[in-house]
Amino acid sequence: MKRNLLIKLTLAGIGICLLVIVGSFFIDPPKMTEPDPAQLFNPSGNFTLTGTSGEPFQLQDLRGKIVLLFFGYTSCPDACPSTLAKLQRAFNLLRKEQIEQVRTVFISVDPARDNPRLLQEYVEYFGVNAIGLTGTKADIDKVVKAYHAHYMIIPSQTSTWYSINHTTTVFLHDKQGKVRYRFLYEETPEQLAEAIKKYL
Amino acid sequence: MQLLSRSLCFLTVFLLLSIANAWAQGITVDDAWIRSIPPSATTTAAFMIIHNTDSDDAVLISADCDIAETVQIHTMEQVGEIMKMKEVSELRIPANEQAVLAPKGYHIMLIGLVRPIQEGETIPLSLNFSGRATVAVDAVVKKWASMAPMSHH
Repeated sequence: MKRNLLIKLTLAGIGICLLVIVGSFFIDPPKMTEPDPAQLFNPSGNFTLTGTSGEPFQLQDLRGKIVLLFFGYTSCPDACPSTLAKLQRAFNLLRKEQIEQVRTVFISVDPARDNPRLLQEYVEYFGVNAIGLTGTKADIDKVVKAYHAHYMIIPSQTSTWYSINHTTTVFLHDKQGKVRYRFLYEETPEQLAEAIKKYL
Repeated sequence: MQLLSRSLCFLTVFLLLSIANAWAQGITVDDAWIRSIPPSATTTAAFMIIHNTDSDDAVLISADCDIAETVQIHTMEQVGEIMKMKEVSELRIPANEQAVLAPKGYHIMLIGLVRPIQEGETIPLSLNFSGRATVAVDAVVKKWASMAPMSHH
């Protein structure tokens, strides 16, 4: 009798375990891409580039703010405007005093075409507390490397215009300048807003 | 004699128009839009859904837009964390199928805009297909697609 109960309990236990395992395949966990500790992003927490009015800009000037940093170029037809529009949607999910604590940093990987005036107008257009940064190719490349990002100029086959393949990830820095979260291209504004709130 | 030549002329025009119409048949375009950009930016993209209800494949080989110096057909591919863009020489739309030109995929690149574009304005485009009449499209300038393209919900 007692043995029977034990078998029944064991079977029930196995059943529950199976249910949990199978069930877990159907639950879509929120994708929080925490940086791999073995691969630190911009460990110095700083770099120097040029702001849109020609003044030197240091990342450490933004200590005390959450910084959303990504690389792009203003002639980008899709990835950059999509990302900026997504940030705009994430901002819409935050309260005014929360938005005050967030800055977007857009680093141009196209110094040949993105002049400061164009860059400023471009980032302001999306209304996400954005700062546009440029610099010499060598300075930009140093920052790209520090974030383990990539870009490559792709010439057109039929015109002099060129496009640029580039990393689309948005790097979320906490108020101490540490990269805490990597926002992938397929992630939603809701996920980004959630991540921002975590580090406010 | 004059009457005859005039009738012939009318007939020819009528025939040509019918042929052009038959060529254009089978291609319809929905939801054409152009991404709005700041006034001094000069590159943007047009998106749309091209339906081919014909029993033959349709091949889009180029597009024209009066306000862009260069118009190209491009495709995008997200490889890992990198967005890769590539110019293509044609976009084939199989018989009775549709091509969705949307963010993260195919689009028509408008390069070297000769004037700023305004949100809400309509911009005419022409789509050139191989062996078919040109299809005229009116694209509306918008900040993003009507349906959130980046949301999973």
